[in-house]
Amino acid sequence: MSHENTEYRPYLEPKGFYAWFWTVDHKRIGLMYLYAILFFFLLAGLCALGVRAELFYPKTQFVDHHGYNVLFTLHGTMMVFLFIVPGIPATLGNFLLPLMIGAKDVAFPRLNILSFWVYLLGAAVVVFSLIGPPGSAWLDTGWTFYTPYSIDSSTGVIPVTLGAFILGFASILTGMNFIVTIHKMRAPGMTWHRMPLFVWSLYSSSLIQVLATPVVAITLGLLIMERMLGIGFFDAGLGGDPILFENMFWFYSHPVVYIMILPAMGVVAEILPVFAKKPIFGYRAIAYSSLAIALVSFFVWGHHLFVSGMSEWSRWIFSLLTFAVAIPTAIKVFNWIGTLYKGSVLLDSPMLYACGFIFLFTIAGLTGLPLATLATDVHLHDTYFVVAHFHYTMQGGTVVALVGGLHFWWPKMYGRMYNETIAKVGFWTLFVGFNATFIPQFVMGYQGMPRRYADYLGEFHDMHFLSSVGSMVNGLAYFLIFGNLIWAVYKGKRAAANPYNSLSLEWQTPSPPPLTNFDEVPTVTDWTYGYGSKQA
Amino acid sequence: MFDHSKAPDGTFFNFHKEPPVRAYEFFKLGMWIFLATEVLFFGGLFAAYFIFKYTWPEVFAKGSAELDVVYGGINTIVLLGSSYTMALAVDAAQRKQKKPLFWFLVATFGGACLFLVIKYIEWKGKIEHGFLPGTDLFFGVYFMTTGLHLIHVLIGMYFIGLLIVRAKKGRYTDEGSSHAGVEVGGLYWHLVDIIWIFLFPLLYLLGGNH
Amino acid sequence: MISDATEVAARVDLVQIFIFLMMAFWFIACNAVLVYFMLRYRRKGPDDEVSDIKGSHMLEVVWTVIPIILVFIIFYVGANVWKDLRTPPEDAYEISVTAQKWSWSFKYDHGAIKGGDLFVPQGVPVKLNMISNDVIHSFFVPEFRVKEDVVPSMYTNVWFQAEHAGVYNIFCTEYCGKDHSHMLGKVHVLDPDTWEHWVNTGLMPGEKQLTPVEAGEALFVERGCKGCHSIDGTKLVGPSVLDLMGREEILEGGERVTVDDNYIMDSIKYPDRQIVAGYPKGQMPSFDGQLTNEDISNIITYLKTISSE
Repeated sequence: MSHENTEYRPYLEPKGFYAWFWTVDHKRIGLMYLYAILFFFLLAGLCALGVRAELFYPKTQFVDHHGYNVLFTLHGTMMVFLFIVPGIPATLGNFLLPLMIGAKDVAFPRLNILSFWVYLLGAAVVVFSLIGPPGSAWLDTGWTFYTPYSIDSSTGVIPVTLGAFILGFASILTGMNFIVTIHKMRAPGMTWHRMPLFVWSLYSSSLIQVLATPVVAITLGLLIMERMLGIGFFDAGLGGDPILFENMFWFYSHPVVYIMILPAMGVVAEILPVFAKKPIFGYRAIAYSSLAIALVSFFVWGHHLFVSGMSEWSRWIFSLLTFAVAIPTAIKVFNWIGTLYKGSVLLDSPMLYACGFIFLFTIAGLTGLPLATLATDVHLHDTYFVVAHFHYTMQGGTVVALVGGLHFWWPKMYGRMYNETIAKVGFWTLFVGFNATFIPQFVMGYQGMPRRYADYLGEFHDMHFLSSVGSMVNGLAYFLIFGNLIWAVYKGKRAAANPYNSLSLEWQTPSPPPLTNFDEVPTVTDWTYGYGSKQA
Repeated sequence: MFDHSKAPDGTFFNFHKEPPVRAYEFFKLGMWIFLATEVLFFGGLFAAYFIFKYTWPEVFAKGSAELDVVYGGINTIVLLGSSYTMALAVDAAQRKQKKPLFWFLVATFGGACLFLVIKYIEWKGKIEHGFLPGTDLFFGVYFMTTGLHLIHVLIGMYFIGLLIVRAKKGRYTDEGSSHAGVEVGGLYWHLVDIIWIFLFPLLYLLGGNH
Repeated sequence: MISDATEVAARVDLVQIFIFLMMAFWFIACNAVLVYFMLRYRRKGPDDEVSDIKGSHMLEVVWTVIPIILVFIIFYVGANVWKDLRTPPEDAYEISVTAQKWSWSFKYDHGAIKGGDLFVPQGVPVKLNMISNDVIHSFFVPEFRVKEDVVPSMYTNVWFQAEHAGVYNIFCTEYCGKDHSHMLGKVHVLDPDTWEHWVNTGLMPGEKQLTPVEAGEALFVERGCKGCHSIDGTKLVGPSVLDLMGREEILEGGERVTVDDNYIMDSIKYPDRQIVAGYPKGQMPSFDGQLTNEDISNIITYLKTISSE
């Protein structure tokens, strides 16, 4: 935009509360979202360690049954609503989307900061009402708020669901902003089929955010009304249907799984070609499979209700539809692996995370098969098998990709490099700890250990013990990883504008970028992944 | 307090806006996406309506018979009328006619007020006769759908009010100005109208009413 | 890993093994190739020879079509066995199951109502018709590979035909509050002779008739009373039963009552009628029709023995 040669000022330069709180710069908003979600990741993670610590041995160790239920409720609610749903889109997505398509900012910068404030408000409401006023019982409904338990519960269900309701608005605002940005703000020459795959994945996940979030909003709204006015929707006594709540809840909460995982897949698709120095394999297949996943994700919620008393033929249909979602997912995995073929693979930490993601995600995806199959799901439903399965997608998938993406783009975000050795040690600690936590859970789940149990039978002790030991390593890894990254912000070596020789637009501007991203709006003449012989 | 005029670049009160032509495209696409969100938002309620009506046809027939088609019908006409004046307002904005724009917006706002008054009378009557949200499933659905719609009418009125104030200042008709605001406000108001067009037959006409 | 105790469970396991083999194949295939590529094409220097392949339509088609076929096969096999898992034979022996926080109760054809453990005949198809008195529960017997939610608004069912006499775990698998993890029980699969003996006497062979106090205590534990009413004076969800008899309580609304046999019976059958001030309403499910009069009088006899002296 500016034609006179202005002096380079990194976007981080104006300091002070005002410059942050009132900022409309997508990069700062991305960072603030990052700090916020990592704070809740820490809190929710500590709750998870509390859960695992209690389960080292059967019977009660240090929290009673209600205390245990509160812990897993805190863990689930904060992880889902405060950490992983905003997760990658609001942090890396906010930071990178305009940079990647050659724009100065998102389409609605003020709406963007509004989304962050709304998020903070919702987060505050959720956290304060999870805990509740002194002396009152803490929320113990689980993050799913199933009726009629959540209607009978004497805990702060109304304020927590109100908080989740508010958070929904933050999510919708971000999604809407991204869609308009991608449609309307691409730099000249940045056609749809030249866009980085991360942008494609953000586009797909934004569609889900915009279309699924309102349904959970109305569902939680109805739950609040049920508690306040007794409207009877979910009350069997008035002819309502408690299962209706489950249907409406999962209509959102299953697609939301893809809000979490699609951007993670996008991150991996960015890292692989750069570190293999090769064009991404099957660009269009990966791009369209994101859209396919987004579409199909709306029609599979019923597999959460396979043993809920739902009619038999609807279980049949939902099983078939659930398998449909496996196809685009498999296509992605094959194409990622194909990208490495005849490449020049540099196994630095971002690449380790990307490959680690593929490894863990194959486990996550494949263990979904017996859960989608009617005959076997009946046995595995609501056991630790399910717990392990979705932790492989959420932590092994989304969190590993988020952390990998942070390593990849950290030099762009802060202009500094972290310590590579510690980063590698961090990755392997996480990898070992994570698998040690959740592989035993697959085993005991298959043996019939139900989830959400504060106490368990002696025969499950070995597996619980292993899992708890693993979880401590898993937790430790994050302190190592984030300690290294935080250290880099202050003491790290200065990073070059493009340390990996990436062709993507965000690397064609200084690190950290100036406020308006590019001195001149770039003109794009080729797709993002023109590596290979051209470079070599 | 901080003096916002001295705010650093890239903050809320000091950022580089896109030129009006681009902003127009942004706002319209943004509003269409938001309307899709709204449709899904009400979609949850409509789904509940159909499930419950299918399960308890007699409750819905009995409840529907208690509603007053006259009030509902008048309100439908009022809302349709206000949608029409809104469309005329958008047309006036496109032609850059300041006065007609202002008066059509005022007429739309008036229609919304009339809708509220009638709705108030109707609700008051229902509550006085002991029909409350917890009475049965029909009245649960009735109060939830019309109540949520009412909230949307109120939000719409807030925006139309904003448009009126700005239209008076010539924000949409002056040389070089963008009328995106009027257009976007119009889209929203039509949605409010359309939702009512669905609610009226479902609640008042289907089952029980003669 | 875990034994199967019905014929259908064995077939479910076949499906499971089939899927596990498929999973293992794809897991190993994908990751072997991944690791091979990672090592084989490891960067040796900045001038590595690099291919610029952008993709292959042939491969895309192949790895789209093959998974489609495979998941269809899995779906078909799974749905087929599941049909048998879900379809009880016409002549199944039916038992009514009621779930409530945090216990199971089973009502048999011959009129007996038993809490906690389930007794079924060996080699006979058994169908459980289940309903919940409060929140959603889920009935799960791992060895039978059956599970179905127990909901308040409608009857749901599971069926199984246990082939061998034995004892198996029952778990509640839908989160239902504080003592969810203690909502357990056992299925006792009895051979025909034992079954007949049990139906006639309500006792297992060698088991002695309980005294009223012992029977009352057993009910107090089995039916989950203990989860909310302590016997040591601690205040839990409901009032403690320590020194209950003859205690004067102030009810919600200010009325005073002296606890006697009738008050206890009333509280068991219609818990919300006479709530002691300071305790929440709507927490305790009604046991009306869930306990026989004999059961209730046994519980009362037992409660009289819980005294601090």
